[in-house]
Formats: sequence, structure tokens, C-alpha cells
Amino acid sequence: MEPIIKLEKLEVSSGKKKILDGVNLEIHKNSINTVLGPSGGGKSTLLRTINRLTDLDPAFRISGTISFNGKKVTEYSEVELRRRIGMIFQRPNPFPMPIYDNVAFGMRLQSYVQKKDLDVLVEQSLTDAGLWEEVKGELKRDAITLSGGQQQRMCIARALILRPDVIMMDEPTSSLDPTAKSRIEDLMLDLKEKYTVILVTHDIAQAKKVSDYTSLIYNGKIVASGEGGEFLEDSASDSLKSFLGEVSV
Amino acid sequence: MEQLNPFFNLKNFSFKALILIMALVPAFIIASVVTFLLYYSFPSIIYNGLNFFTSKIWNDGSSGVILHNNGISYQSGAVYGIYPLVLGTVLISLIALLIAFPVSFFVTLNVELYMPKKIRGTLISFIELFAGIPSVVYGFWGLLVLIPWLQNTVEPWIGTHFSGIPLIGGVFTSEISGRAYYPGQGLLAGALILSIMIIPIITAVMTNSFETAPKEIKDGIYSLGGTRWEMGKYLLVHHSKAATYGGALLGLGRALGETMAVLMVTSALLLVPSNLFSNVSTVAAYIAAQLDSAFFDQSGMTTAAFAEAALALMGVSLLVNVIGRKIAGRGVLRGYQND
Amino acid sequence: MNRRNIVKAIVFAVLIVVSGFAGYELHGNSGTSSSTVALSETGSSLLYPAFNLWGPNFTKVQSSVTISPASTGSGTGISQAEKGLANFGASDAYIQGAIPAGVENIPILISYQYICYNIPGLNSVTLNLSAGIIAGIYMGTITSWNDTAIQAANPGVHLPGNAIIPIVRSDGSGDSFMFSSYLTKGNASWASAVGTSTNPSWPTLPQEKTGAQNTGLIGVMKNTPYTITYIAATYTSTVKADGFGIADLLNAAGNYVAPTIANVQQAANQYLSLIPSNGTIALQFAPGATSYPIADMEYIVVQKVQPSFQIAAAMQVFMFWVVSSSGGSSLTNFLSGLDLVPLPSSVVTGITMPLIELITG
Repeated sequence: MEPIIKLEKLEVSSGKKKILDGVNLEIHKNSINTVLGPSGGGKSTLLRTINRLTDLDPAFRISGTISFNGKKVTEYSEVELRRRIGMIFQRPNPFPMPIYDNVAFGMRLQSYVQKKDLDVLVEQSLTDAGLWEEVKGELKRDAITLSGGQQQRMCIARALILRPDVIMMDEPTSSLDPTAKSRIEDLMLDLKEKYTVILVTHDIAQAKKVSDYTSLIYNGKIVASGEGGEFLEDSASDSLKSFLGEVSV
Repeated sequence: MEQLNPFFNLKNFSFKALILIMALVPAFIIASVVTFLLYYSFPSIIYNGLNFFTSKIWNDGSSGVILHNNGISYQSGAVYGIYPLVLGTVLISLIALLIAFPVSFFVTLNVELYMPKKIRGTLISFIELFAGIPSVVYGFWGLLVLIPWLQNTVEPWIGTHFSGIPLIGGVFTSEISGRAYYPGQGLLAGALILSIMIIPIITAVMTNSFETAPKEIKDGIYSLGGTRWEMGKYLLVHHSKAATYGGALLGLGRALGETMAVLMVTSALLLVPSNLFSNVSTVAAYIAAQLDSAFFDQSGMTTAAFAEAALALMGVSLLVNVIGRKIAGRGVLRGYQND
Repeated sequence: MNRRNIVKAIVFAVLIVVSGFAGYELHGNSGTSSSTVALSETGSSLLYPAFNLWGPNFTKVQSSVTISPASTGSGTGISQAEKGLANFGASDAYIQGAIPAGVENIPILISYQYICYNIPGLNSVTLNLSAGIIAGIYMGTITSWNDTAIQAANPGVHLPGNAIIPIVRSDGSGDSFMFSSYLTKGNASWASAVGTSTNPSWPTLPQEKTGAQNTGLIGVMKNTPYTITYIAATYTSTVKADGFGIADLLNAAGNYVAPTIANVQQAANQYLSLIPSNGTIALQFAPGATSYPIADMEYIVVQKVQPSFQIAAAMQVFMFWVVSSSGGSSLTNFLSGLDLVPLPSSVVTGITMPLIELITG
């Protein structure tokens, strides 16, 4: 099957520092594509280069190509690209407004949507994000008052309302407690039915639990790739073992 | 056991007392200013009554002809009314805010979103520098540059293009004996000068709130397909709305109390404005301009009337502040709702 | 006031000046040196340049006395001198109403005013104006330059039909006082509707403009054609440089007269017998064929009893010097440059000197 996103010889540097160094990567449709690596290894930059958030900072120098649905990402408008490739961040980032307005935000940016249509979309997205049952009676509640795990799921709903092709998650559970973390992981598994997920994490257990395709990134280079969680367990090479040891630290 | 050392306790106590006293100082100062103004304006309050706020005439009375009545003294024929001044103050300040707020808004977004980091810092300190320029300098510039420009270019242009608009065309029409007349000096000039003076204040508050906004929020908007412009607008209008409206209020407060610059480009005449170019005055400017002449009135009534005018100015400022805070505050509590 | 007293006063003054206060130990109220008296002056902005010149020049003559002037406004000058916050309060107008006990206003000079206009093409033509016409303009009954009243006063002059834009002072001012006093004396309807004040309640005309201080008036006039205003004669050089027209005014004898020093002094001379001993009189509309109608005396307001004899003596000496034609009132040394007019010598000896003598420690 043709990969939905393809990175070729991607090099990214900021100032004199090289962050990504010749990255080749394929993202497979309706799967969870995991990029595993230690902090500071260039994982976040990888995601931000895909949806061109890096363009906001003129310090970044980028070479190589990223294609999305067969077309270079630079050929899309930033707005279209980011709407089709949603992003969830390390720390939940609800806007200081009611839940309803948070979820509807992207829709309202795009165009005017009638209230009753918007209601349907908001409910659908919250349902997809597994939050609807918990908040359906209190959509006017300020999103800031939700728990961390709920906030993160609301952020996922906020991305889902735009019906993206891909959802990128940048260590989405690192600030959450184990229960909340587990719920998000289960949610990822549900999401891949409809969406393509790119997960960036330094958590081996998480990768083992959810990953369909796993790539290991170290010092800006993809050092190994393979399918699913077994790849991580089956790996016998010493360098890989020491690498994973470093990840676990 | 929390505190075993009695000395530490005492120290803690005196520190708390000190904090309390410090906290009370501003309240005490405001209370004493109000008391002082009330005390000095008392004869005027008795003499003028409500007429003070409805009359369009300020007349010190016949110089030296002092009458005494029920324990108060005044010059014969004295009438004190500040209606045109209050109207002028409110109009000038609101028009100034109407100009300054959107300008500050666009300046902030431009500086924050489209300027390279290096230029941004310099530009912001430059804007902040403008807030420190003495108002006399602005007034002087207004007198030499702004007024002739308004008189010869801007006002005739506005007059020819807008005076035909139905209903509100009169606002842009200025005539004497059937001929178009553009004075330069007046409402528009005062509002423009004030807006130039308060733009740095409002911009400083806005850029500051922009820069202290969390990166997560900015990234969040971008990742939902928001443009730079939409991100910036969201940040100022919703995320930092308290700071944005607070900045506007700060500007309005400055505008209400500004004296010298307004005086130099408007007048000290008690005219009820009939159009955008009318020559008006403000309470603060009038007090500054005419306080010296109050000392010629040996009855003291004119001085009392100025004290009452100052009290009224303080009242207007307080009122604007309270209303503004209410609006901004309620907005913050309610959050963002546009349906 | 008899002759002997005046002679005594002059002799006293000369003695003190010549002896350099020999025999007196002068103590300033704020001086650091025991032999220096520092005197403070505050008030009229019109008189400020004069005090600014007088101060250092007087100190040259009398090194133990220094004068520090401040330009704050006539009302402030009166008020602070009355309270003893300043030794001298300078005012363009005498104290209104009864002079408070222990205070006196002492005339020291004469100032006068121009009625200026900026009419393109006519500024080099001297227009004839009267109190009636000017009051009409400021009250809104005469609105265009070719009004019949103005035309009648200026036969043969081709006047434009443009609207007249009157300018007034935006700050409380002795100039406004002098101007409104002139209109009050010269026009009955002005007298009943507006009267005399440092802050006249100007009839509201939509085209009216204001300027802060004389410089502000001049600035507005320069930028605005078809304007008219009143400008203190101390601004003669600016007025002439800007090329404004200066009107001849109708006086009490029915003649149009130009604002010259001779015509102004003539006005004061005409009033001589009428000036009361407290110096309080308005000089407008003096009788006499050549008297210029807008002139007034400038005053120094003082407390009669000063904190010490030394201060009182220093004040007296300074004031004698100010009104002396070889001292501060010298036309060539000071007043010509300032466009102020010295008091006639008879007023100096008859009114001013005796008032100065009343100051004591």
C-alpha cells in the first residue's frame, strides 16, 4: 500500500545545530506509526516539519522532501496542510473558553457553520474522542476545569472535528497519570480505524502496546525500523539494546 | 509546633502590619484627595447645585463686586457650568480611543507576527519610548504640524466626501455664514493628539500580553489551520482579553486626564460641539488654563468651582474605570461565546 | 502726597544704593550668606522678561540683593504675594474689589495692546476699528470683514466678504482682562453681557479660536486667514515679523490713533489727577486727542509688613530702582527692547513712591 506521508533525505537545522540528519520515513495509512527515541532526539521537530510549524521560525533550515498524499507538503497552503494533518501536543492546550467553543474552534475558523450542524459535529468529535459521555451535559463548562486526561481528549476532539487524514501526537501522555494515559492509548487504537496516527514517544511500553510500525530515532537519524511491538522485543542487536536502555532512562 | 521563636513571631507580625499599612496608603491618598476636593468645592456645590452640570456658561461674575449670601461669598453675576466641558472630555477621549485601539491592535499584530525578532525588540522599545515624551512636546507638534494639516488638507477632504451622507453627514459639516469652515483646532485635533499619546500605552500592554501568552496556545491555533492573523486576533481578543481591555482602559484614563497637549490643540471655550471639527475643551484642560484667573476672584467661589470641576473629572474617570472593568471582567469570566 | 516726602524717598533710595547698605546687616529669608537678601518674584508672564532682565542688572548695582523671578500668571502672583509666599507678585491687573488689609498693589509700568488682523492682501493697510466694531465681532453681531460698520470706518478700503474669525486667549490672562476692560468701557452691550475678567465668559461663536499665551495666539493667527485678535505690545517684534495688520483705534476724543509709546503715555498723563492713592485704575479710553485707548498699568503686589526690616529695605530699594528712569525704567537700557512704557514721572513720584515707602519690616 502506498504510504500516506513519505519523508526523503529530510535534513533540518536550526542555526548551527543539526536536528534531523537524512531522515527517510514512510507513514502507513490507518496504522499507528511510532517514532521512538530519547528526548532531544529530534522527534518533535520531525512532526513540526511535517505540518510546517517550523516555517513560523525563520531560524529553521530544511532540505529534502516530505510528500503527503503524493504531493509535496510545500505545495499545500499551510492552512490546508494543518487542517488535514492534525496535531496533539505534549501538554494539553485547551483554550480558555467553554468545551463547546474549544471543539468548534477549528470549524469556526474555516467557515460559518450553522449552529445545529455544528452541534452535530461537536457531538460526533467528542464521541470519537471518547469524551462525550463525560461532558455532554456541561458543554458550556470552561475547558480549563477539566482533568488533564479529559483536556487531552478534548484536544483530540478539537482536531478530529476537521476530519483530518492524519493525527500527529507529540508525547500525548507524558503529563498524564497512568489511568488517563491508558485511556488515551486505547483511544489511539480506536482512532486508527478511521485515521492515520503518528505517535512520537520515549515510552517503550506505550510503543509496544499500540505501535504498528516503529522507527527508532537517535541524534536526528533513524537508526532502525520495523513492524509492530514485536520488532522491539525480537531485536537482538547490541546497539539496539543499548539504545533502548538509553530510552528507558 | 509551627513557631517556637517568639521573636520570629513578632517579626512576622510587624512585617504583616507593615504590609497592611502599605496596602492602605493608596486608599488613604485617594480618600484624602476626595475629602480635600469636597471640602474646597463645598461653596460651589451649594451655590451652583445641579446647574453646575447642565449650564453651558462659566462666568466668574463682575470682578471685585462680592456678594454674601447664607454664609457663602461670590462675585455678582457668577455662573458656573461645565456641561460643555464634560461633553468635550467624554467625546475627545472616546474618539481618541476609537482611533487608538484599532491602531494599537494592528501595530501589535504586525510587530509580533511579521517582524523578525531582532527588529521587533527595537521597535517595541521605540514604541514604549513614545509613551515617555512630555505632553507639551506632543502639543507643540500638534500646533505646528497637525493643525495646519487638518485645516488645509484632512478636514476639507472629510467635509467634501462625508458631509453628504444621510443622517450623520452633519457630523462632518462645518460652516460659518454658509461657507465651509475648517478650524483645524478642535475636537478632531484633540482626539488625534490624544490617540497618538495613548497608542504607545495600549500597544505596550498588548505586545506584553502577546509575548507572555503560552506557546502551546499559539501552536494549538496554528495546528488547527489558523493563520498568523487568526492566531494573533484570537490571542488579543480572547486569550488576553483582560490585558487588551485593560490596556484600552489605561489609555482612556490617560486621555480623560490629559491637560497640556489637549489645551494646545483645542481651546478653552465652552462650546457644545456640533460637528467633528467643533472647537471644544475638556475639564482637565480648562482647569489648567483658567486656574490662575480664579485667584482674581477674592470671594474664592471661582476656586471652589474649579475644585468641583476637578471632583467631577475624578468622578468621570472613576465611572469609566468601573464600567470598563465590569465589561472586561465579566468577559473574562464568561469566556469566549459567539453564538 | 507732598513734595517733601517724595524728595525724602528719593534721597533715602539713593543713599541706600550708594552706601551698599552700609550699616545694615541684611538677612535674606532664604539666603545662605548673611549679607545677601534673596527676593522672590512670581506672577505675570508679561512682566517675566522684564524681571529676568532687571534681576541680574540690579544685582550688578546692588550685589547684596538677588531677585529670582518666576512666570506663573497674574492670579498666582497676587495670591502668593498676599499669602507671603513670594516677596513680589507681578500682575497685569490690579486687585479686584477691596484690597485686603496689609496688602498693596503698586503700579510700576504701562503696557498696551494691539488689535491685530490677518487679512490676506490687507495686512499692510492700517484699518480703523472701534470698541463697538470689536465688541460686535466678538459677540457675533458683526460676522464678515465687509460689514457696513467696518466699511464706514474705512472708506475707500476694499474689504473682503470673508467671515471674521476672532481668536481669544485659552489661558486666564491679564491680556484678556485688559481687552475685556477696553470693550466694557467702550461698548454698553459688551459691558452688560460679558464685562471684564481675566477669563471672560466669551459669547460662544462656532468659528472662534483660541491660543495659549500670546505666542499661541500669534501661531493661530499666522495659520488662519481672516482672523482678528488682541496681542500684548511686548510681542511687537514677532507681530511685525509675521506681518500682521495693526489697527488704529477710535479713542474717547473721537480720533483714530496708532499704538505708539507717546500715545500710550499720553493716556496715562490724562488720567493723572484721577489715579487714587492706592494706584487702582484702568487706563482705557483716556481723554485727550492722541490717547491710545487700550493701555493699563502693570502692578507689583506686596505685603506691607515683610518678615524683616532688611527684606523690606531691599524690596524698597529694588522697586525704587525699577521705576527710576536711570534704572529699570530706562527706555534705552530696558523698556524699548521689551516694548513696555515707563510711568510718567508724575505718577512715579505721586503714586508709586509713596506706596513703596509703606513697605516695612
